[in-house]
Amino acid sequence: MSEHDRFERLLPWLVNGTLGDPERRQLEEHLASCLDCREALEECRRLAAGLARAEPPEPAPHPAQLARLVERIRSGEADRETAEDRSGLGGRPSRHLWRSTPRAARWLVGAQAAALLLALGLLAERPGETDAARFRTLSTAEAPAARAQVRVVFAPEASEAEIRHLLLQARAEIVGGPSPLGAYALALGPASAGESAASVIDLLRADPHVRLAEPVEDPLAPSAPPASSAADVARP
Amino acid sequence: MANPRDEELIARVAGGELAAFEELYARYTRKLFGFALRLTRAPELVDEIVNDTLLAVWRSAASFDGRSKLSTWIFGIAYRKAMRALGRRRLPEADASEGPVPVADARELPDAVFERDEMALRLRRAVGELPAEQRLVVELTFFQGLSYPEIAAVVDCPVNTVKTRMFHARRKLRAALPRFGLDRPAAG
Repeated sequence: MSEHDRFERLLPWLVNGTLGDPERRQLEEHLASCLDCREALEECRRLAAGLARAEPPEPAPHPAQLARLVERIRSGEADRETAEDRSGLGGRPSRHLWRSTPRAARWLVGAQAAALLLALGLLAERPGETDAARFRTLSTAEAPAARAQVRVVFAPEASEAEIRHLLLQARAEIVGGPSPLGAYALALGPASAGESAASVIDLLRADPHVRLAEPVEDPLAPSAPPASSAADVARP
Repeated sequence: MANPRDEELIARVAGGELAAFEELYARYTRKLFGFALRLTRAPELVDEIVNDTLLAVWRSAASFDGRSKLSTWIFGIAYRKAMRALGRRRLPEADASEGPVPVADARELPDAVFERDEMALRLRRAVGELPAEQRLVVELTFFQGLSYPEIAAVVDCPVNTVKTRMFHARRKLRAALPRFGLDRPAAG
């Protein structure tokens, strides 16, 4: 391959601004003396601009899709790569849903659903954590005195007074959050430790100002390193 | 609070910090949706690809070794998830011989603006007809702004392969680009 060809093939990355310095300088020197490359550069720029116009804007996730992921996680299917149940009926309804959702609303809805997803599913699905570890806070006798925590997403219309009332009722206080997606961590009062954490969660869930309430795993529980079995992630 | 760097976030995710994962989620989900949609042209697969990718990021955060940028690592995962999802179906480019990507494909898209833009439609169609590995290089270069060594890391191929794929992609897309303003595309 000639030197000219080698330079010519670098042009797209001159356009996207990622060429490293010695290479960029050499290319620019070559461009100064090569009409073909200058034309090709112009074409690359038109291509970049044309693509930006031609491709659709990035879609936002729809809650229905995220809810499905939650289900997947909860039913322990997250590891499976089966497509049968998702490639058919699974995908289409939500696609039409997000398409029919006004774009401005999509991100908001998506962010809320994401908070739900995260609070509901991923926490419980952390690999390597046994049931014993997961339930330690709630049921194990020798559990440390750390206060049980609950992850909560409040309804967007809930007022400060309503939230305050609820927290007092539940004998809980906010110890963390809001997360970027709007979830708060609540610490339950010492009297609420152990078995009664479940009843506090029931109380929270029954409240219309609460979108979601889920136990947080014992932060002191040892966590095994995440499984990295998938070949998908082995490479940098 | 300042925006933590990606590398900080993934280290915290590896430590099991859910809030850090949420931040990553907020940072990457839309990019991943765009990536998966443009790469596969199969909207029904996009949810699955993005979900699988995010789950893999959550689970395998500890295996991120910092030798590449985090975005490169995440796109690498997404790429493999996308290829796997496509592999379970018939590859779209295998059907390219049956004719151009239907215009309905574009009509379904949410933004009606480019529906009226003939050049954009033509270009979109041409991109859809590229083999997936060439479309990937176009996507990572022009939409995600990756350098060619980064793309080589995502795809796990030599840098010269990246350059060659881009070279062929450009040659095919050239026909869809107007040379001067409203010029008709070259035949073929």
